Amino acid sequence: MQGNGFKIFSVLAFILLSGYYLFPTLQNNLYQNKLEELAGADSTEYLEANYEAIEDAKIKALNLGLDLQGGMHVMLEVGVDNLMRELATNRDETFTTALGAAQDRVEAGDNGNFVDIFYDELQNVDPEVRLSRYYRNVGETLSRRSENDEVLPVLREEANEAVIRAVSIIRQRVDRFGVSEPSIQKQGESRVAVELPGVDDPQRVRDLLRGTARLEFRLMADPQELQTSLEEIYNYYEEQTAQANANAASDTTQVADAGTADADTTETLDLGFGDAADPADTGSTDVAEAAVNPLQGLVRPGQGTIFAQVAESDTAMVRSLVMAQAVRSLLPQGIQLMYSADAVGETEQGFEVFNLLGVRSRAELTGDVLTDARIAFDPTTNAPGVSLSMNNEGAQKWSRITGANVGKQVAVVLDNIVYSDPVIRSKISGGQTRIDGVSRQEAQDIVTVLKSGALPAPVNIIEERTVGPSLGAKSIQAGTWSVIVGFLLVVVFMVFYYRTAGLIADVALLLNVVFIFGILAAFGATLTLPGIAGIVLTIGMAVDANVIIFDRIREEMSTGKTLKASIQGGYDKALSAILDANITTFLTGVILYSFGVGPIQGFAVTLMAGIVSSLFTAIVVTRLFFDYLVAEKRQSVAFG
Amino acid sequence: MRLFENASYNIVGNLKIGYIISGVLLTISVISLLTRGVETGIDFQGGTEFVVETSEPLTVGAVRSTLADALGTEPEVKEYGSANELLIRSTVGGDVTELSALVVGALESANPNVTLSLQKTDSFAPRFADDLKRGALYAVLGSLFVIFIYILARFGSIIPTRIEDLAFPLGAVAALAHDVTITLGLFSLLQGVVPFSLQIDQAIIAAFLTIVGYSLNDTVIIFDRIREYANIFKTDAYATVVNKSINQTLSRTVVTSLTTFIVVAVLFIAGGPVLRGFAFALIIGVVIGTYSSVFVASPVVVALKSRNEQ
Repeated sequence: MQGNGFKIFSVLAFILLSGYYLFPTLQNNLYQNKLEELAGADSTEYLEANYEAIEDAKIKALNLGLDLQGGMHVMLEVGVDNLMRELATNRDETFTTALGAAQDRVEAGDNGNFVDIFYDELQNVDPEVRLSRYYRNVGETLSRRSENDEVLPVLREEANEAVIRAVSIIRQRVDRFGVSEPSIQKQGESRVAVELPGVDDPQRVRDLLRGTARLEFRLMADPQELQTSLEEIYNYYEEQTAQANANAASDTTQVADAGTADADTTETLDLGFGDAADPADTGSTDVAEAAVNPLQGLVRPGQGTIFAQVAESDTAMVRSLVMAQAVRSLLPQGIQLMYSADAVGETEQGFEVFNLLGVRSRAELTGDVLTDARIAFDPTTNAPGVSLSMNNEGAQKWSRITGANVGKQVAVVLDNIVYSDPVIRSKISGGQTRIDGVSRQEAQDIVTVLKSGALPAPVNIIEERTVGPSLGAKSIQAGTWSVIVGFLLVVVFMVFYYRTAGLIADVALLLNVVFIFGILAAFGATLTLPGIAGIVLTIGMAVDANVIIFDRIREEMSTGKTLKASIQGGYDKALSAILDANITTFLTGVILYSFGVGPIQGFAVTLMAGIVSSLFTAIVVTRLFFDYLVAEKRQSVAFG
Repeated sequence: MRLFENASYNIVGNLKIGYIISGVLLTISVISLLTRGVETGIDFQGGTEFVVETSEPLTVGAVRSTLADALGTEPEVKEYGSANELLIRSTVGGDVTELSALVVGALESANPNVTLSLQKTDSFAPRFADDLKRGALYAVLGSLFVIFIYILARFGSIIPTRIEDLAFPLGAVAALAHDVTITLGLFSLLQGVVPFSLQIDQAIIAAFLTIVGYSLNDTVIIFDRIREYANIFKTDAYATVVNKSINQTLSRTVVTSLTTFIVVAVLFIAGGPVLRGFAFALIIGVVIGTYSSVFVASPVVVALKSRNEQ
């Protein structure tokens, strides 16, 4: 065993290191099992007594991916395009055309910096374009006379800042959400990946992450005007429908279930929204059914400042009907429609119904005048709400607005949703006001969003994966079984095929699995289901190196060499083949890791860890055994 | 125990069999890819996928028509591992909150005495899906390129001057392209025939690259032997050298393929529905990859190396 001292040392060191890194994982499992065993009060007591140690073990334990422990992964994208629109002081024809073209280019897969793409498109529309025309008020340094190459860096900086700020704001919001070990990472130019283990309320997370915290106080539409325009819109669709029916009647060859014969609004009827079909309607199918007004059944007419009442299942439909170009002009000047935050009832199918309210497009007062937001309970009804305090400027404005509009309603709008629309009873001075009509949790979330600040630009969710905890548990079970069964089968096969040498290879394989987990724990990698698949695959392929070596040794022995010389020759001659084969696979792993996202990366990490550790175990560990048995003990080893 | 020890099959002399098998498989694959195409997962085309657990089994057809009414387009509905779990896939865009409320609401109102719970939701915006698709394509092409360069450096010369220098890297990459095409072709052919999803998604791309790595593993072992024997048996015809090398490594090729096949088969059976398509790709890959190391990669080397032997 002379000369093997270093090898022995390094094998032992790796075993100890793996043990050290995996110890917290074992500990964590023991603690969790213990907590499950103990009943309610005992468990709490035990948790309190060992809180430090339990938390510590949890943090240092091998991280399980969301697909194994359940939770939510969200990829957000900060809308730099909207930021560009908002920063601009005026937006003319050139501006909107170029912005649209830039957005199309991004849609088509241009992943460059949006500011540059936008500038490029601006120049396409107007080669003489001066950025200062739109952005003279951005930052401290710009003026009307700024050259384009002065403006561009400022805009790029703004966009970059917006993303960085968004990350920190999202971090604050997530921290207050109360999840253990959330992870928030900036990815690429304008993306943020958020991972929330163990979350089972995706709806709340979406609202919290997406909310731009834009608080506005707006006056509402004049009830008379609003109701008139509702009638006009309804009549407009009546006419459309009548016309469509007339066309259909004249077109006798039309088949009942024909697809989009002519793409007019009546086609939307086939979507099965609205009332359940009247049994009387199911008479003849060979005559084209008469179309009905698409708004009928989708909305219940409202009254006062309520434009209509809409079920949540129909919101998208209604949006497309009311947003149609021809209809938009029928709404009163300077009025837009917004939904209420609170449901006002339920449909028979159990969908919640919301008010669609007419509010003025212009905000009287915005959230930047706020100095504080707190949860506050109504002294009389004990209902939760949010109490807001404003600075002096806000207080003055607020008192002027409320004074001038006594008897009218004011809408408290957060991110284009109307939270409350109280009637102003008297002038409010002192800069205190409330948001009512929210649950306790909603109030908490509103405070969180308001306090962590407004997002500089709206964020969109572009990827979302949610896994329920029970599915995660099933995956862990399936993965564990696959590893164990795969391992045992390979172990049995190796002993059967290579006898004593196979047994030695099996010891190396066992160490190999321990090392893989050790490497994962040491690098703080996350174990995912594809990662487990990678481990199973590695178990199958890890014996390959030993198979190559043992076959070589058999070859050497068949030429009549001594066992010792054969082992020596086998290892030496097999090395180049093993290295070449594994380096190429490792390169594949590197590429997978650099191009892949999420689940693929997990797989790539275990694949690479597997290759490194299987090379070490198959070449170094097994060799030590043979050296010991053959050189030291002068024993013969069967190679099957 | 010993398998194929001292094997001396005339493989290089019987390459016709290989040409027929590969030719047939490639033809079927290409035809299927051109006519049937492959189905891509939502991570490559955008859309939303739900896994719903139900207290009682629901019939897939009924669920499909219920949801088609609610969503406006017909979603894909499949059993997911058990009769009480359904996979619902829809390309309808929009807000996930609205969509999941719509799906659960519609199913609950259609089946009043069944309780539902959402097990899993995946949603991808179409533009992000395009990014992922690009990433996957780059990964596959990038790995083929890197492998080509590595093999060129190890088995040819880094600055190839003659076509012979390219023999090994061309052989390796030909085998890999052969494997990926046939696996992809089988995915296209069997989609909808087998009772599990064969959609091409990120995980499958990872499986393909693993197949690439695995198949290469086999190929490199044979190449290594050819390189060694070409130096020892300088007087033999190149075809003979290659044939010797294949025979000499045959036992190792079979044994490793066997152990790898065992574990991927276990993964396929016990790994759960999430990994089924993934494991299936690996099973095909192990078989095809082993075969192509012998019948695709080596003949290319023989053809290019023995050009000037006459």
